[in-house]
Amino acid sequence: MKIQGERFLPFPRQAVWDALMDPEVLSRTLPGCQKLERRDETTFEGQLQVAIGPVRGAFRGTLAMSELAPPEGYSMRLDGQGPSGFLKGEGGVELVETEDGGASGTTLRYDLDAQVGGRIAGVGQRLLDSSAKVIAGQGLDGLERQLAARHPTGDSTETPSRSDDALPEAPAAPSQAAFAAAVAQGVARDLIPPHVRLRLAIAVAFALGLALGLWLGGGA
Amino acid sequence: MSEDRRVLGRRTPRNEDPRLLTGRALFVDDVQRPGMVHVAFVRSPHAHARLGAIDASAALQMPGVLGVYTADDLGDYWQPGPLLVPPPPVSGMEFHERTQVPLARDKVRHVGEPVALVVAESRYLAEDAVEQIFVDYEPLPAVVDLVAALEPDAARVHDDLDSNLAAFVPQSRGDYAAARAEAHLVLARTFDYDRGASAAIENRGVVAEWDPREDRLTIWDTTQAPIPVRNGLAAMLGLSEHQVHLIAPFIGGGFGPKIMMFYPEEVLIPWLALQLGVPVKWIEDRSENFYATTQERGQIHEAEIAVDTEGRILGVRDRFLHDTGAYDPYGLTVPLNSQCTLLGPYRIPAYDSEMRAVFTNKTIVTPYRGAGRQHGVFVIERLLDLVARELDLDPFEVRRRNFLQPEDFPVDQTIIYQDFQPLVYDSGNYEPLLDQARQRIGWDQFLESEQPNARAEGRLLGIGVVAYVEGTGIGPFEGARVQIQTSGRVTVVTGVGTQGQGHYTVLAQIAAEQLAVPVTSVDVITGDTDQFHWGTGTFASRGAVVAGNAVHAAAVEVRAKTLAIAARLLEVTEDELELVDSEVRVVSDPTRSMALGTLAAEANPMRGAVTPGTEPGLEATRYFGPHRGATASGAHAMVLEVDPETYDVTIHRYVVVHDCGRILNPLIVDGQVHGGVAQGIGNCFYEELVYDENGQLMNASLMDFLLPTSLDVPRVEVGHEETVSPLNELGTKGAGEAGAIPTGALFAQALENALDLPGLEILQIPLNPSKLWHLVQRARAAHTSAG
Repeated sequence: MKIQGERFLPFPRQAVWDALMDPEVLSRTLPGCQKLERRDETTFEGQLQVAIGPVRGAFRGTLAMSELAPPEGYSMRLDGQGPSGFLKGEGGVELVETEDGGASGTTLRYDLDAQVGGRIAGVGQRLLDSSAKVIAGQGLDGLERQLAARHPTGDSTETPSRSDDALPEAPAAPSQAAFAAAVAQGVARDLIPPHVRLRLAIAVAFALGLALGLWLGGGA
Repeated sequence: MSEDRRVLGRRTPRNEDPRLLTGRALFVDDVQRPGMVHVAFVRSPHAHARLGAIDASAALQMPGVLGVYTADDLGDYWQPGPLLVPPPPVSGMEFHERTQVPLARDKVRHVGEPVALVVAESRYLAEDAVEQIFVDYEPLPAVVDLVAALEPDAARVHDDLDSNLAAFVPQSRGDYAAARAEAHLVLARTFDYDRGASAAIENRGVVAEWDPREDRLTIWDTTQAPIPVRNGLAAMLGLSEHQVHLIAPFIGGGFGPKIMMFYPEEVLIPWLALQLGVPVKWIEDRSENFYATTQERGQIHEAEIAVDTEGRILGVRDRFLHDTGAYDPYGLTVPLNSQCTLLGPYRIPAYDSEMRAVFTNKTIVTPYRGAGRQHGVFVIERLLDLVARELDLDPFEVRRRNFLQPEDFPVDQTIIYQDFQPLVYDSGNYEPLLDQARQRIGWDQFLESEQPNARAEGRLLGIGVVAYVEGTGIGPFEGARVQIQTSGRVTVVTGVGTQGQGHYTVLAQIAAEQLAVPVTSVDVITGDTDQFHWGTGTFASRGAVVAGNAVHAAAVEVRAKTLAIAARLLEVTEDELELVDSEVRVVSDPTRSMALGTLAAEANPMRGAVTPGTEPGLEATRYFGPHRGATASGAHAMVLEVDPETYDVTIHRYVVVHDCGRILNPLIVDGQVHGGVAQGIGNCFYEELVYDENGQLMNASLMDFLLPTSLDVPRVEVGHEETVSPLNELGTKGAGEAGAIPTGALFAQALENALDLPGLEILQIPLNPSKLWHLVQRARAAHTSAG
């Protein structure tokens, strides 16, 4: 499965790069993140609590970055494992300085080849794509909020002195209802073949589980 | 006994239904024992991987967690499961036995294979602890595709084998090459029949309790084979068979996967109960069921038919691959059924068949309702339809010309069947089945007016008819004990288990018929190894045939004992007596009578002496072991409609004309047929287990694995023919799987009839709207480019 997309962030490229390299920022960006630590220069270790429907439990994962080209981008490999399955991904993140309607900023592009297995693959295969999009979007919203807190005017090139208290908390994992609505929109667009009698509401609850598992990939 | 007192053959309501419908029936998950602990399993998320370290340290520190076990913790108890069915005695055969293990060691071979287990004070805690066990896997390439699995460079499911070939069985009769050489027409096609899950309402479950004072182990288990499982577990645990009490209570559907024995969970829970000294429970959840309960059906056939100018079969050649999954504990029952059932109700002078069973990194395959028969039926019926199309015959005519005739029976097909006996059809009369099906479905009227009228409105209606045989009622044996109690009630005890088929009624009817008591006065006890010591199990549509005839024999003996004691007490000869309305009376003077209960008391005197040479009580135990199986048969017909926009399919009418020999209870036969048809329809158009190239099951939930609902299954009209079996006293044959067997072949034919496109051939099952649409587009494109 391909997880790819892009987002314009109205912040300087270096600022975005710094945020992506800062586990503190990332852990506050990612819903449901229990911990995210830097193991070495290029490797993060994290744990994500997933507790929705039948797909639930702690996913432990590593995010290994390589071919670092600050502040232009990097390649990454993702390995996550939990009782409901595993996820693996390989891909890259690219940061491009962009002008967008007069505002200068950075376009973040991500592209990941992902594979999932176990229960996580079994219960929501058809919803993976939509879920991944939604989760990626939420992760990027979180990143944007973190950046805005650090760079109130949006044009500073200097990282202000760190004050954790001042940073917004990571959003709690989104409520099932909110997430369901987002996924439902995605699903409704992509559309289910007519013979599929799947009850959307239930499907969406499962999707939520899945998507959270995938979120590491989408949000990184 | 006068004719109106007969109970066999009547639509007798089911004895078990009041308990089932009022929630008073015991299922395994109802079992609650003091101090009971619960198990959850860590299962592989990989289809194929080397197993590395298992880190359970965090789980072990969680409150309420009592233990974590891996393969290494099982000591000598870790053994591959027994081979349940040995390979058949066929010359040139090859078989590689690789059976499932209780917990994976070194390597995992399918998603869901158990790797470790957690015992905790509650299932919740056990599940939470499972999440805290971390397993290192080194993924290996997964063996998924059947054809690719046999290529020389394929990854191997079992490292110690040279290839993924699990078995090779060649069977033939006649000279196919000669048949082909003289044929007017030879047609060859590839047929693909993919997997499904039986999806019983009740998943599997096991509860085990060791009683140190009694020195006995009690096991509640959702098995179709209580006595063999009792025997096997006793041997594995080093106990006497009498120290193990296995109860298979009411079971919410078996369908075959529960005749698979010594599942990892079934072997581990009783062992844990002994280790821990407390009752232990595990109930499979629906998600586990998709991975851990056996499945069926993946086969690919390359088949060829040779016919003369009249469409008469000269010979059939078949080369097929059978997906056995990661292990092959059930031997070759399923592919042997395919190989044999392909011959169908037809005269096929030359048959050349080679079966190759293949290991894959998928869930284990064992019989599931139909048990390979539908594959054989699909191939031969589709081949005949192709012949009919080439020679411009209608589906009735091509079949009629090839049917075995009543004077041909018994028919020795000479090849070896799943019971290892030569495949011999005991009796049959096939043309009346087709005739009745034609009349019931309204064939002529459909073609004359219904179909053309619908077509004029832009509606695509199609019709089809197929025929099949079903080998049923195989040995080795079942037994039964029949006893008249002093209350006058009758008890029937047998070793077969029940999973909803109606044993409590049919077996009661058989005893009631002999003993002249109401069916509701007969208490049937099944599935309890303390009540009956010998038995095989419920499978292969054999309960009514094999256990039924054992009950019959025992009831006949009890009847004789009853008349003998009554004759002595009433001081008349036995032929002056009749058994009527729960009493024995003198025919010429009905006022002189004795109730059955009184006679039972007299047969068990507290003083005096039982006459030397006789036994106390009105009781007898008898066994029945048929020399070989009885061959049932049938014809199915359906009318369906294809939506020309969406390619969704609606089945409007469904007719089954069924011949299972003498019918014991038409209500129950109808019910069996209805249920089978529902599963057959599911198999055709709704249910498919979709594996990706990594061996991941992509639709492991009832959201995506679509079971047909009451809206998708039409009312099934059932007609009966009765060609009695000469192989047993009751003259009966099995009926359990008939509904599910020919549905795929019928569905394919009716679809072709509805769509009426040159070049459209339905050679695969299951279908869905998307697959059907693609097949139609391909046929249209081929036709356009050809035209």
